Amino acid sequence: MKKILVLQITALILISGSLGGMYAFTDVYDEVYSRIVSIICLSCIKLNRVYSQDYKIETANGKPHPNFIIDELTKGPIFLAFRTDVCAYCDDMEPLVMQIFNVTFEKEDVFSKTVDFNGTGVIFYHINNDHATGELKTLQPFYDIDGDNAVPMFTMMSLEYHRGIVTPYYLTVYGILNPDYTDEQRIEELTNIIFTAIELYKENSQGFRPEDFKK
Amino acid sequence: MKFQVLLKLKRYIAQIIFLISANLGALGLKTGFCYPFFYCHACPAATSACPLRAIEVGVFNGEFKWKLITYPLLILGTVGVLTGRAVCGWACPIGLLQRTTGVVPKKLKKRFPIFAKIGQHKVEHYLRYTKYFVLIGLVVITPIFIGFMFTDICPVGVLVGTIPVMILNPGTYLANAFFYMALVIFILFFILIFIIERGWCRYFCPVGAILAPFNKISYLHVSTHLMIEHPSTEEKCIHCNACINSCPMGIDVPNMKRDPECILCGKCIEACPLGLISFERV
Repeated sequence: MKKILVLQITALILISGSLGGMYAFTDVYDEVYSRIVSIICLSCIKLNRVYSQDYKIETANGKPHPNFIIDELTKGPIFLAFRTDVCAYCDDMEPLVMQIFNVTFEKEDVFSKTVDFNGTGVIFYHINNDHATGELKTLQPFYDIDGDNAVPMFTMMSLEYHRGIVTPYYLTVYGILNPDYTDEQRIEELTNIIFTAIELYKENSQGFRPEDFKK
Repeated sequence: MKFQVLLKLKRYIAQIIFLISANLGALGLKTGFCYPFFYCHACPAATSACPLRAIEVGVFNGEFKWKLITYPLLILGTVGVLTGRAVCGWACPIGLLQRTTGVVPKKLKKRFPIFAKIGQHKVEHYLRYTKYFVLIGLVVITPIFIGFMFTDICPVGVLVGTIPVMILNPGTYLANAFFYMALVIFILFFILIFIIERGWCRYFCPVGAILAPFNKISYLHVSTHLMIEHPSTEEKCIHCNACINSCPMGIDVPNMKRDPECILCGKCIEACPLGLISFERV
């Protein structure tokens, strides 16, 4: 038998056998599908999305995202509403938030709930820092980009493709958003933020690997 | 003559079928495979992943994810052992693009001798090693150490990713830090393929660089019978250079033996007046 034929057969068996083994015994197919094919690769198209607001990837305090937030992100985009007992602007904004999400709560309440937003489940957190306990009590500094514990603070969390991986992506807004706005404009702005987050989540959730972000 | 037309036609059909199958994502078919040729998954219609991106993600920032590194190499390796670089000539959509633009450098060569010299200069042979540097440097080393990836500036990403995405989503995106650099490279890419036939495949294609060594052992290859009596024709090479002139990769066909640059397009087979060149198995 020709040497070259032996070489070809050996190479083919080794290479295609390894490839078959990878398909059979690893999740590489799913990983390539979820990490690369199913999401829009922004760096490959050399573009960034146009946002009216400033989305962030790194947490405000530089620490990894809390594990429970990462777990929640596997279920849907998250809306965090922070307040304290004494907060006039919170009292102004919360009725608007209730209207947007079609939920009702008292200002002392600390709770989470999956709410339906135009057919998509958004995980809604209402956190009163004066009554929160455990992980929720220390949550605000993770997303407080101004760093001064201002309330009301609203954080919308979603997912975005960044440098090869799908990563948590969040936007934080404060107070009454803009003093010149009417209530309708505030509702519109918050609604736009939520719609953008849902769109991002739908585009990227296939590729999200929570284990990459857990401490 | 009939054989020559048939071969040309077969290759066109194969390239069009592969072009369509690479873009079935438009119909919702997305898979976890890597393309065995050079194409970008950022194309809105892409079916599979760019093999280079998979490698880059696998080595990014020194995190060696072996599955992502070996998977595209094994896919390319399987194809390479069977057919060598035939995918460049028969399947790659960018190969099809260069086949289409290839008429321009051919005409330029005939009209202006300077263009003939560009592709035949003595340093040209060494320039072909550029693609190996691109592969090792930009696909492996820079992603590990500085987080810069070849696909950040890939001209094919601009062609099949950026442009369609911007057309389909006007006002949704704006340029990132690499956009203008990629745009310049994209323009140079187009100038290159209009000046030198298969200029991208010859000098820069990192996927071609992965496949090229497999030509040395591939089951399918192009074989020449020029200096010996050909069993069927009993004719000897008349040194007409028709094969060299027809080769889009600028290979010295009479002296080639499993040349890593050969894309098995079969143009030399079509061109040889005595039929002394053929596809062979084993």
